[in-house]
Amino acid sequence: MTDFTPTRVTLLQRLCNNEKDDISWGEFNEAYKRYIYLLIRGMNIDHHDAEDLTQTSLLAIWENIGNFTYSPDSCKFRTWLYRIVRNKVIDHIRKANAKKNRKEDIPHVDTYSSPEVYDIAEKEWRAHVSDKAYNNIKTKFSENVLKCFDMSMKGKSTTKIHEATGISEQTIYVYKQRVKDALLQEIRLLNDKWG
Amino acid sequence: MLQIDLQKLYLTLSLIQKDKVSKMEEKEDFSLDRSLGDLFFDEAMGYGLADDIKSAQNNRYSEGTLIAKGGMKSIFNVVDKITGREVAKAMLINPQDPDKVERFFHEARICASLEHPNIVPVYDTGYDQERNPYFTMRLLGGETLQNKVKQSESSTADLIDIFVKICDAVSYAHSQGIIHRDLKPDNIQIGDFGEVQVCDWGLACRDGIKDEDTIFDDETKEFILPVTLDGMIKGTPGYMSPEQASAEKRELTAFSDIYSLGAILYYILTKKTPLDEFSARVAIKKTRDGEVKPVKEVNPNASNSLIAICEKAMALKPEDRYQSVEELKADIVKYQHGFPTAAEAASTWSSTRMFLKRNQKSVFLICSFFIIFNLASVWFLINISHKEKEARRAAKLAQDSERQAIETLEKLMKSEKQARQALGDLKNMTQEKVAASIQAAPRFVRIANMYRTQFEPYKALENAQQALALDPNSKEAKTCMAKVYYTLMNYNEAIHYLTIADNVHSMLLPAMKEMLNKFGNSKTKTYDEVLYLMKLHRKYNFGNSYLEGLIYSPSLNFLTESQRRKLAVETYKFYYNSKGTDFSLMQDKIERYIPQLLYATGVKEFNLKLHKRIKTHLIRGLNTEIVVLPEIIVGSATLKDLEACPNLKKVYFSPKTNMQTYENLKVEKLEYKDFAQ
Repeated sequence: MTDFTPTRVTLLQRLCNNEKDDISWGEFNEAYKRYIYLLIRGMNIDHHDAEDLTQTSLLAIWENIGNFTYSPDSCKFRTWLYRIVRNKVIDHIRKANAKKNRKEDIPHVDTYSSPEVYDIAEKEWRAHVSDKAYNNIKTKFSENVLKCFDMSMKGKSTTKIHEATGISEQTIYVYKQRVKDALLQEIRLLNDKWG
Repeated sequence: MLQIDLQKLYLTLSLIQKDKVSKMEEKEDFSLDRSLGDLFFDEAMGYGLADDIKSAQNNRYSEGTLIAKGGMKSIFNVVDKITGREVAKAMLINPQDPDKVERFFHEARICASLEHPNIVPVYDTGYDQERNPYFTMRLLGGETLQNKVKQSESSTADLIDIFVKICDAVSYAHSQGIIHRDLKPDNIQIGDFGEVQVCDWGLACRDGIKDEDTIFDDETKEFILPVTLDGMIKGTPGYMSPEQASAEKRELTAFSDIYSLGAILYYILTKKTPLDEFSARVAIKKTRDGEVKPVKEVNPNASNSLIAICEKAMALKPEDRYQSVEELKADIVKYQHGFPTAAEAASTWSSTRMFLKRNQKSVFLICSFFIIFNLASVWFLINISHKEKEARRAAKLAQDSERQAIETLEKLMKSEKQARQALGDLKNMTQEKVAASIQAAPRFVRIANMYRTQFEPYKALENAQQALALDPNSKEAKTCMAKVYYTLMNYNEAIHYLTIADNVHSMLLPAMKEMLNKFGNSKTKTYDEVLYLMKLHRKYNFGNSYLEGLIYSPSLNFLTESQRRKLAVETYKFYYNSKGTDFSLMQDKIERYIPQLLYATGVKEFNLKLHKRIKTHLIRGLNTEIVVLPEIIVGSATLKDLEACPNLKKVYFSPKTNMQTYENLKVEKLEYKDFAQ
């Protein structure tokens, strides 16, 4: 099912069609800002520079999004996005080196394109999307339900949760399942929508 | 090598970084829980469509973003998790009011009952998880007609296309018994690909117009409200019809929508909402009074046809408007196709102009073709006229020669015909006449012999030849010829005719052969030759007729009188022994026995009384004065002989002679008895 063609492409579509409005910009920020930050941090940039770079990258992507031809089969949006971020980072390192007037090896372009690096980027994407999804669904569940889910996430068994909360094991199981279903659905939705 | 080292370095660094990020989780909005991704991402990716739909049963629509807000309802952009598409979700702003809820669902129902490409489709309606009433419909991209018109890039033609689609939608709604009551450019959504959708059916209601007979039926369940449930004016100033603006409670009908359509057309033509220069109150009053600024004043360039349509649709009295949206649309389509519309009374000239306009291509093609054709024809004619002249000249020559040829041919044919006829005639003639001529030949022979005996050799020859021509086998004719040629002393000819006449036993043959041997066939004759011939006469004992023929022959005319007298004496001696040589002494004896010898001897008196029948030819001559004719004479021959004697004085006739023959003879006519012995 991994090569399942996403059907929810509205944000990307709208972005690609250059239909930029405040709603899209907000959604765009929500979708990609943290991911871009994580990528930049992953390229060994400190938090302060990473924040600046995240902003410039976001703007660069926003400006150039019309050049991206949406085609889920040939090139994922986040791959295209990754390339822009990488170029920004390389630019930044060059400038920083020039300022300090010292000659340091500038990472080769391929450095940020190798399969291992790509894997790291993918891993960041997963973490980003999954976390967003969980935050999105949190509002739909009661405190008890979320508590049960959180505890199970921390590795506690159903029995221990039961002991801690007094909720029956059967119910805990149902709670866990409901949250999980919602989370999976949301992850999938966001991945399709933003990916 | 450097590259690999860098990668390793990067990997180590990123791992360290990960820890750092984790530490920052609490203070930054960049923080995240990595365990969730590790635990659930792959599983989520492995999720199938069936799982998605199953889990979306109770929570179909995602949280959405607000895209529009009106007086009664808000519209959100949401994802339908079951169908996977984005839709527009309408939510009631104040869901606590049961009347509003009723009205809300009423709109949803009405809208859902209309299935038309130009009416926004309603997908679903109900209460959501939060127990709020909602309905979903197609999410419309693009922009409203309001904005589209404001953009100067849209041409009137494009906007009129859109207007036709609006008419289609409204016309369809009317056919379903539904009137919109709030048609305005803001309620028309136009997609990026030209799809036109009439939306916001919030004021729409069922009308009695389903059946034409009940259009004005009082029993129609009509919501007649001056204002909407939330206290707003029902409709929009400028677009609402006069009857809608009226304070009186009047039933709203399809004519109301027709007015609104007219107002939309007004907006399209002028880019201005009718009466928008006034406040709502004044606008409503002016609407009631029909005081809308004419289109021409706002946009002088607007098409007269469209202005007429607009004004008709916006007529103050409903009965003056188009009687149906179909009619309105038909007029618009007429305009689009360049036909004169019903709203404007088209003159002949404007009709013609429109005809030319809508058939521009054809007219252009026809005109250019016509011109090219004519030019080509003229060129062609000019080009060929020269050749034609030559051709004509050649043709004339040909005609002339042909005529000549025909004439010649005709002549030829004529002559051939004549020739044939002649030939035919000739054939007929020869065939017919061969027999006839053979029969006729003896007649000519007789005539020839007659002339021969009358001592006219040339006439005799002529007739004998004629006889021969008629019948080449006639022996008589040939014999006649031979005899005549003999008298003419032409021995060769005479012998020839005798031979072909197969008359080899004639006594003439040896005589003439003897003559040929002695004298040859010379033309000039001599006395001796004649004398010798006389001798042969005696030798072969020829008859009187031969002697007469020879004596009277013109071939002897060369003899003088004395030669004649000598010849007479000598010849007499061949027949009768006599010693005398003097003619005067011998004359009586000669007259007594051979009187023919006296011819042309100058004798004055002839006494032929003793000769019973003798031809009187001998008397001819200048000297003859007295003639005693023989007893029996041939009347006519003798008369000729007598007439050939100019100096004749006395003639003695036998008493047996018929004197009638000689009546005209001017001489002394006496009888034998008068002759003195």
